[in-house]
Amino acid sequence: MSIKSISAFALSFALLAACSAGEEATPTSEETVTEEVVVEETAELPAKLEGIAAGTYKLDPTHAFLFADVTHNGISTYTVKFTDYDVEIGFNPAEPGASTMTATINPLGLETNYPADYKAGHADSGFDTWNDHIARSEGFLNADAFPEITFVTTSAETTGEYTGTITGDLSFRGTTAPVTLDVTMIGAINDSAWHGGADVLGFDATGTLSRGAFGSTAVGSVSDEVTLTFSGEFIQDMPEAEPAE
Amino acid sequence: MRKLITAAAIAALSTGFVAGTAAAEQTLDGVAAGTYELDPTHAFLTWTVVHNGLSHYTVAFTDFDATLEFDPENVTGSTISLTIDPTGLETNYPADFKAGHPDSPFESWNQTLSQDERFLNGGAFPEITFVSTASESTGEFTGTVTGDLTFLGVTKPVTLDVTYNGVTNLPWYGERDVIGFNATTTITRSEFGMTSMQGPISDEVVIDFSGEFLEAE
Repeated sequence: MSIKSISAFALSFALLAACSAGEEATPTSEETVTEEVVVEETAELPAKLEGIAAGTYKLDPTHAFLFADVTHNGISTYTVKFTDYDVEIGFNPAEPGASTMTATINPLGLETNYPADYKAGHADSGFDTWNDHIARSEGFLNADAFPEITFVTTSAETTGEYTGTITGDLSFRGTTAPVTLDVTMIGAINDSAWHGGADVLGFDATGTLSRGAFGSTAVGSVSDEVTLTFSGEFIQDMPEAEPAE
Repeated sequence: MRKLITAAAIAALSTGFVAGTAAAEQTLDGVAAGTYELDPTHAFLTWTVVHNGLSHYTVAFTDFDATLEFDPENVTGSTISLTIDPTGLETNYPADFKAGHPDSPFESWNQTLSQDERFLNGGAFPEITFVSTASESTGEFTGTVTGDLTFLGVTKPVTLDVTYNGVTNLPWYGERDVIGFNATTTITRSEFGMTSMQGPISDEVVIDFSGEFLEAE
């Protein structure tokens, strides 16, 4: 939901611009020039961002997918799906390159696909399931020692109308190192009735990291390179104080 | 059967490396012809749609089986058949389904997707099958596999883009080869009668597979 005062603000700039355009001979004050620049930025907003509010957006966990892919034995792509994480983004449609994102992942919440008897095949394992093994063993996510994986944005830039990169500090297994994600805005809904009038944004993001850089080096059948893939929706955080439309 | 590679794998083990990556090779040379069975613990099959024009929603199948008749000397003469149980699937629904869907006859979101008539209708159609009918090479390790997909009682041809990722040998499988593939295709769900929620859910469905096949004994 766009804040009305901002819409009115934009509208007045648009009117001013129209007046200015019709008064080319009139000497332009410095103030008007400044306003015209703002109008141009508003007019150039990509179509999907029209009416979208600046502010904080929170992950809709029921429409979000986060995968970590590795190559297994050099011959297949092995996918771990995270099931317990939270993400918040700060988004300004007029300046997407200033966007921020913070993410927190619980490494104990993950799914693979292990349709077999884990204990029968891993009699000596201290874990009950393969998912637990991935989450907690020292060579993999080591969740007992490091119960949180976090990502905090340090910079962002746009690369196209709906694409950009977000670089941030990834803290994983006790090591913090920069990771850059390629981000694509898939779509946005202005004033989504389904979401109580909130705006909703949808993004894909992908990036790669070297797990060795985070100390996960033990398992040779698993590639060092990990590809992170995310797709999900973010709902505008609307403080209760905000006036109704 | 690839004795050299097996020896290399064992040597790698003895020097402290776990067999695998180092021994894998994207080659068809020396790969055994014959029947290969899917290794279900190293296989991923997903169904992805666009939700509300906003995000890619991914359903992972968890109960499927495939048998490959592989001929490395005549790759396009290879055949594959695949069976999927539509009631075996995972999404990601970290919320109280019953609270949000008090009128639903289903217990979970996963069950809704697999059983609801609007979706996979697993009660009426307990099997999704794919049986290859033809294949073509498009590169040294890439090709297409066309087959009959039977889904919701409708059978239609579908063509998969396939990449052969390579072969490895593992000490615990002896001389039996393990080969890996990626495959992807896009289907139109309405062509199989799934016409529900057009708009909020894309008609196009992207199917992705990656997995390993073990030479049968």
